Amino acid sequence: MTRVTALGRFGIFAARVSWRAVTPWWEVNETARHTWLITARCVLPVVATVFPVGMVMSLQGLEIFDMFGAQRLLSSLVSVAVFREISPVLASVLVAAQGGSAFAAELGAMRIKEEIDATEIMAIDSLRVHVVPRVLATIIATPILNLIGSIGGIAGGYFTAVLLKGEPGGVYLANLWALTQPSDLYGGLVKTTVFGALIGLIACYHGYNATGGAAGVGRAVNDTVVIAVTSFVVANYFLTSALFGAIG
Amino acid sequence: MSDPIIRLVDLHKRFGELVVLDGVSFDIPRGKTTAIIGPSGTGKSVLIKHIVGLLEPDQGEVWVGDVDMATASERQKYAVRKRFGMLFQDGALFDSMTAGENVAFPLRFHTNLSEAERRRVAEEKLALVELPDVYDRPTAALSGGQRKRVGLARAIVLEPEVVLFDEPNSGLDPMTSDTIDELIGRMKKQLGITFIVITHDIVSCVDIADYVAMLYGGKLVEYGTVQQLIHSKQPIVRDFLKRNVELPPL
Repeated sequence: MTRVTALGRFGIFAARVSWRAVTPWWEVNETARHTWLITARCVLPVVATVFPVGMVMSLQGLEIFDMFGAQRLLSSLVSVAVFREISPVLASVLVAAQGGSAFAAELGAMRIKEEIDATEIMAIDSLRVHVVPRVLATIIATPILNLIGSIGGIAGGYFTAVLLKGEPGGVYLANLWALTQPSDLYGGLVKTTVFGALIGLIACYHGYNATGGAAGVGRAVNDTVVIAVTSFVVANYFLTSALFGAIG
Repeated sequence: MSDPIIRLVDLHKRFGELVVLDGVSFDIPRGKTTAIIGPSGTGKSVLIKHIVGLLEPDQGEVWVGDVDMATASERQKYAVRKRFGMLFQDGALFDSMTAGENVAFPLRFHTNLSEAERRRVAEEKLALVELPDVYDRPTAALSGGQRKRVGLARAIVLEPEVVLFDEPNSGLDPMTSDTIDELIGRMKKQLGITFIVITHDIVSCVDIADYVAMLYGGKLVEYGTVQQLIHSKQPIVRDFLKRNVELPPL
C-alpha cells in the first residue's frame, strides 16, 4: 500500500469516526471508563517527566539570569515554557506511549480475535462502540494531563530555584504570572486537545485495521507511537505559530 | 429444495494475485442446515463474510431476501444483519465482559429491555446451551467448549432467522465436539432456524447437515444433500471424504 493510499484511508477513517463522535448516540460509560484509565495510567509518568524538566529549566535559567541580575524573571520563563510547550508535548508523548499504544493493542487484539467482526454481525456499529469512546478519551484526557503536568513543571522549577538554590520563594511565586498570559494556558489546552485527537485517531486506526496475528498487533502499536509522536510534533509547530505567533 | 433464504450468484473474490472465490453460485434453503466444506484455504470463511456483508465481492451477487449485500448501503447491511447470528471459531467473546454480559450485549442495542430483563433473557439463552450458572463468570475462566456455547447463546439471543457457524468443532475434543453437534441439532428442532455451518469435520457434517456445498480452489465442486455428496463421483470430493466416512464403490 502506498503512503498516499494509506493517508487516504486514514482520512476516510478519521471522517467516519469524527462524524460518529459529533452525532448521537454516545457510549458515555465507555468513554468515561477509558478517560479514567488513560488518565490514571499516564498521570504519574507525566508528572515524573515534566517535574524534572522544570527543575532543569530552573537550573539552566538561573545560570543565565544570574549574569544579568534578573533572577526574578526565572519563574516567568519556567511558566511560559511549561504552559506553552514543555507540558503539552511531554504529556502528549506519554499519552501516545501509554494510552495510544494500549488502545492500538486492545483494538488490534479485538480485530485478530474477530470481536470487531462479531460486533458488526450483531448489527452494532463497531466504530461507534469501540473506537469513538477511545478517541474521545484521548481528547479529554490529554488536556487534563497537560494541566497536571504544567503544575508539576512549575513545582519542579520552584523546587530547584527555591529549595536547592536558595532563591526567595515569594519572588518566584510573585513573578509566576508576570509574563504568563491566560492565552498561554488556553493555548496549551487547545494544543493538547488537537494532539489528543491525533493520538486517538492514529492509535485506533492502526489497531482497528491490524492484520497478521500477534505480529500485526505489535506492528500496530509500534506504528501508533512513532506516527502519533511525529504527527503532533510537526502539528505543534503550526499550532504554536497560529496560537502564539501573533502574541509574540 | 425449499425456498432459498440466501442466493449466491457468480461470486468472485481475489486478494492481490490470490483468487479465493472463482464464480461460486448456489442457494441456501430456508429452515435447513447447510454445511460448507472443503480443505483449509478454499474460501469458506471468505464466503461466509460475503453473506453477512463484511466483505464485498469483486463480482457477483449475494441476495439475502431482496437485498443484494454486494451493493447494499451500510444501513441496509445492518438491517439484514439483525436477522443473523454468528458463532465464530473461538467464540469472539469480549474479554472485558463476563459471559452473561456478552450474551446480553446485543439486547442493549436492539431492544428496550431493562438491565434486569436483559439479564433474564441472557440467562435463558445460557440455559438453552446448558450453561445455566456462568452469567457472572469472566470469559477468561471459560473452557474452549464453554466459550463456543456462550458464543452460540449470544448468536441466538435476538432470535435470528439465520445462524452461521465458523468451524464450530475446531479445537475441541471429540466429546465436546459431539456436544456442540447435539446442541446444533436440538436448536434446529426447537427454534426452526436456518443454519449455515463451515466445517471440515465430515463426521459432524453428516450428523447435522441437510445440504452440503463443497468448495475447492475457490470453486463450488459439489452441492446437494449429504447422500448426494457421499455418492458423488467427483474424484476431489471422494478424496476429501474418504478419510472420514465409508464411501460406496463407484
